[in-house]
Amino acid sequence: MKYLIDGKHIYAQKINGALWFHVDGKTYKHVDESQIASASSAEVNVDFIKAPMPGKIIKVSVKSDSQVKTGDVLVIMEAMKMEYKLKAGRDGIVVIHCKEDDAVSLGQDLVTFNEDN
Amino acid sequence: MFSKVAINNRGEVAVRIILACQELGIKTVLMHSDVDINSKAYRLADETYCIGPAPTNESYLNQQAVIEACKKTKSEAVHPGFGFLSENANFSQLCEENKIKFIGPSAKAMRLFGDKASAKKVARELKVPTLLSFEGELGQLEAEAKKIGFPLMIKATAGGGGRGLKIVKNEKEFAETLESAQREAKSSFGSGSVFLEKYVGTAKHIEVQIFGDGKGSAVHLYTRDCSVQRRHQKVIEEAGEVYISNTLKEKLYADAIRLAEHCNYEGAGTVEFLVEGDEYYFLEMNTRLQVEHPVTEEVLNVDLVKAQITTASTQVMPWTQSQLSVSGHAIEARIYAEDCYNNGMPATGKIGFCKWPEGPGRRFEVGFEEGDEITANYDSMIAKVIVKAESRKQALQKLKVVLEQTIVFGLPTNIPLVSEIIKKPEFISGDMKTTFFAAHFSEGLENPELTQEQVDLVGQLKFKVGEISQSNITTASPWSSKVWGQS
Repeated sequence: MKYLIDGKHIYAQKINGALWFHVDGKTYKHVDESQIASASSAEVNVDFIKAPMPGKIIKVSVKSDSQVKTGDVLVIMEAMKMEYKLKAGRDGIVVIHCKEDDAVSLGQDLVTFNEDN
Repeated sequence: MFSKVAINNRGEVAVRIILACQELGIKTVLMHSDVDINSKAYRLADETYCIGPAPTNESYLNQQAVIEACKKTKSEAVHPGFGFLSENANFSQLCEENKIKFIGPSAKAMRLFGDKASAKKVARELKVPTLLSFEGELGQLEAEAKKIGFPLMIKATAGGGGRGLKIVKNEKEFAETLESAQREAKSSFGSGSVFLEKYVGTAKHIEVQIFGDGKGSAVHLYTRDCSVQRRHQKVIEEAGEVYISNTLKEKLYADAIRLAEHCNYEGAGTVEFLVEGDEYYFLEMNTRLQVEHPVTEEVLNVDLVKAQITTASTQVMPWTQSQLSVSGHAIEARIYAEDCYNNGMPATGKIGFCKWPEGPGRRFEVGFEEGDEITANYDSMIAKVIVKAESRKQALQKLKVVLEQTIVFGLPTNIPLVSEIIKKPEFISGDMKTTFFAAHFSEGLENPELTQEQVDLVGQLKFKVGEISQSNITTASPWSSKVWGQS
């Protein structure tokens, strides 16, 4: 866990192929470029938005068949007393699979992009 | 004194309660869901009892299961912690019917203050200032809204704790927001009943900790400033040097005590106010222990959890008002597993190596250790960091250092966000209002790039930690190291 580098003790740990380390008062996570392609998150997998956790849809900001741009807020959901804005990871025409007040489970499809574009 | 107490909660508060029981010589039984086996509370408790699967309504909110578990384990009392069943009057009553002591106030007190509209009525009767509001008939809401004036808040009567609130900016938005507020209230709290309240956007959130003996007497344990909130959820809380006038403080203490004594309040509770200049308004009363109780404990040198347990057993308050006096300043930062470079998205997964930098005036309430898993079933708070010092200025410096020295691997945390918050001049001056967070952090944080020196460090680390061979280090670095969230 503690490594001596250039006379300084640095805490570091390899977890699931990522290198976590703490230096100059901050914690960092480093992942090789080659591994980035296989990672997934609500934004990296751009062709859909899945619920990142179980919760409730508070607001759907766009209708199906609307044109959206990268970064547009599409859905706002609530979980554990917090509100989360789910944004478009790409431009395109969206298909909305949820509505206000829906209870959603982890990984549930909320928004997909129309195949035609 | 009880010989065995059940704890119906999880995370750091379950640990907190277990430790208090141990100091009182009381055996502990942890009521837990099936996924909360890998937690510090599970390991610390004398006995454990699985009350159901992960979903809260099947476990921590499952009243029958909790009662059954108390009976099976012969627990004489149950501590509900905060959240879950801590403010559930029906559960408190169910405990009483089953001869299990509920550690907290009576069902009557909970019902009085649990309904936020009823709480305001009581406050008004007791001459505690409240915000202009209307709690009447649905049909009259639109007309009354115009009288109150915009912007205003629509609040769920069964809500509380920063939930069930909607802001209506103008008359045009009223009808739609009302409908959505009722729908949400129904699905979140079981009741679609709402009331209207004038919106005070820029104020300090000041709360008074109270404690009652259940027989009509109560004391106050001074104030806390919880103005740093992200969408009504507290991030940083403080006690000690609270920057409102002494005259105002005396009024808050008196009003809080009056509210507590009115319903023969037993145990710990908090009265929340909004303070705008010289004016103050009652917001709500929370009939439970609060997350931020440690900062009060630090400046008064008391143990609120032990007090809750002993008073529940003896109906005697552990202190008189004259024995309680403030010394120094304490600040608490809630540490969440979340990606502060990606809209505060909660993180799930296994916690790696952790280092909580112990030292004088440093206190850590930790719920999880290396190897434990944070799941999406519950909130992602993993710990609380509390610092205590002789003055607020010194406490701020201590917090800065503690945050720099705290290490959590495996999951991203909001530590970078808290570090940025405490650098802001408005926060340093103590002047921050409830608008502070939105004003500075609504867009989230920028992902920092590593310096060349740090990139070189990564290369050397990877070699030492065993990821790559020696020869790769000499080639030009293709890695663009970014902090989590980008990978």
